[in-house]
Amino acid sequence: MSTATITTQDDTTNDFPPSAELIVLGFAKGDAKGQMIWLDLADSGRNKIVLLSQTPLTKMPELPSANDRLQVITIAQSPGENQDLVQRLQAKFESQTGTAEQTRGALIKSALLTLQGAQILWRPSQMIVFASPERMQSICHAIAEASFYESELRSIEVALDAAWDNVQADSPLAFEFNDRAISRREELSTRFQAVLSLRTRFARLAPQVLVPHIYPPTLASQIAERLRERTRMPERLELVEGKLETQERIYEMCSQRVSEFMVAKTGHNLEWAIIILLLAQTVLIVIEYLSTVSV
Amino acid sequence: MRYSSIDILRTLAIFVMVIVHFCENLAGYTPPINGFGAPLFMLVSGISYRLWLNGKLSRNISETQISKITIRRGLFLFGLGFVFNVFIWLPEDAFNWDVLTLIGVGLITLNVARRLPPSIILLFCAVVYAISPLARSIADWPAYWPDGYFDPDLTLSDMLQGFLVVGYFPVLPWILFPLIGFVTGTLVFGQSRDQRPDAAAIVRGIWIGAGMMIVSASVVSARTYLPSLFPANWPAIWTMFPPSAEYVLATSGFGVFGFCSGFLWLDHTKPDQTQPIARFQTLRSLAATLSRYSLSAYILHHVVHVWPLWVYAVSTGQETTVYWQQATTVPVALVLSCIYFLLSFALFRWMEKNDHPAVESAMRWVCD
Repeated sequence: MSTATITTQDDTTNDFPPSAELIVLGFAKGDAKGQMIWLDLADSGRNKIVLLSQTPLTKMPELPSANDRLQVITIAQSPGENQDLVQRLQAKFESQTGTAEQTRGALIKSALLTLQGAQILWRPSQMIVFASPERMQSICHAIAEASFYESELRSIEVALDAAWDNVQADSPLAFEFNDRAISRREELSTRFQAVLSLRTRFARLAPQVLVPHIYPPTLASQIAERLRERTRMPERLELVEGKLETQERIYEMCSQRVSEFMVAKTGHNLEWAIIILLLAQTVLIVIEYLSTVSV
Repeated sequence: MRYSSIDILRTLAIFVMVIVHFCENLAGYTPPINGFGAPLFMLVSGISYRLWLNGKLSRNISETQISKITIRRGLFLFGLGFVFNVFIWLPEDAFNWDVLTLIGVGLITLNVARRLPPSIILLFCAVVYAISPLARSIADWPAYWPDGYFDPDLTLSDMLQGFLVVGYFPVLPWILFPLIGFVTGTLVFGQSRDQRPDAAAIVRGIWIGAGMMIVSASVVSARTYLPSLFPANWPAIWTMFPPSAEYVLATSGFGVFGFCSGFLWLDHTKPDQTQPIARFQTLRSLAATLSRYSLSAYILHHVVHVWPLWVYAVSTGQETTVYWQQATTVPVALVLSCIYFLLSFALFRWMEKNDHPAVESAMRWVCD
């Protein structure tokens, strides 16, 4: 039996059970100086999850405004408790329009994972974990890690999809580079670097997503696997790889054309210098010749 | 977009030419401002070509089309130069190689130069500058100018010598001016219309132009006050005909300096401004009109002051050129030039208002 009510569009007084806590996490890279490291991820661009705040919670919080924030709401409970609250929250998650920056590019609005009495209601940037206190930490770690990878994959997808217009505009330069395009050299270089940066992030992300199932399975490992499946991360990885390859190939060809063109241009300058000197000599010879004849 | 700095420079060039030509052709007097009009006129043609080219490139006009238009315009001006010589200076002076023929050749040269980096164009200019005195010496320039004006035989070799080196405005060294103007325009405006004029390049242009004038002035001073340091048979110090090295350096420096400082003062906008500061609106408006009709103005001022000399001489049964340089006194010539200037402005303003065709529109109609 639920002891809490949730927010609906007309109702803003949502109370979680007294045991509810809000953990706000952030993604950091490097040594995350001065921040409390909550979880250290093995290999990723931003490889630290840091604890930003941990407070008791009574009302449903707003989604975090920044992309690199993650809200984990923990509700300690016995198995089977708070079913009504879970359903309402899920309905709320589903009803929300996905235009927010945090959910941009997400394939699914929300997912409910139920495993061994633990329930996790997940959506990009926010998750609510219903579990017994002794399992809470391992579940939170697992779901936060999986969420991090999902958000990383999503941000790569969004970046790649946003680049298609530029790729299409730049693709003629993969065939031929000319004088008029010289001013676009810097632009091309920036875009190529952006694609390479995405490729690097992808290369570091893929091994974390395509990990084999852990044996013997634990609740935490199963939750992570389940979330990866529900968010179709392996399939999305394949698609991302295809998109990356296409964009990379186009920009590689562009950079090759640019490089060839600039080398040829430098060579031409030398040729022009020689031509100018020969021309000067020829003109002087012609003038000398004309001054000796009268035709 | 019209730039007042360019309009004013072109108007200044026209003004100088009008004063000088009226005084020279009517009274036989060469004013001290002589020699600043033509170089400025040619240099501005190079700057304008850069702007025109940027406009075409921004409209995605093909390279071939741009080449065709440029060459057609070059040939039009070249041909117009001959027509001008025949009708203004009479048929025996058809091959005196005036400003128009040089600007025509300049346009055709710019069609090649536009594909080259500025450094190569500057190298070309340096080579032209260096070989011009040598070429004049080889061609025996004084032999073609026995009485202070170009007097060739009507032979192919003299015609070619005139075109290359000994005419009024031969390729060597006058081709420098449109090319220097084009390079200046390229460095300031860039190679596309979307680029903001480069403030650093403008300031650099001011320094370089000033430097060229200072170097030239120093050399002229040194040769004037310390003549013993220089060999007696060295080329003249400061002459327009033939264009001495000091003269070419100073006039091209003046053009670059004038354009860059004028642009900085009148046309340059800071990043937070959308419009340049409004200064000298009347002058800008006057200059815009005269600049728009500069080609017509160049031809018209010759027609109005040279033709009456020929017509009157012929009508009184005298030799056609008898009144040339001795028709009137200097003050009268000056007054006439000022009257012409005012009347021509009124005429061009009227033509502008009523959208009447002029030589410029004829060129566009034929060539574009």
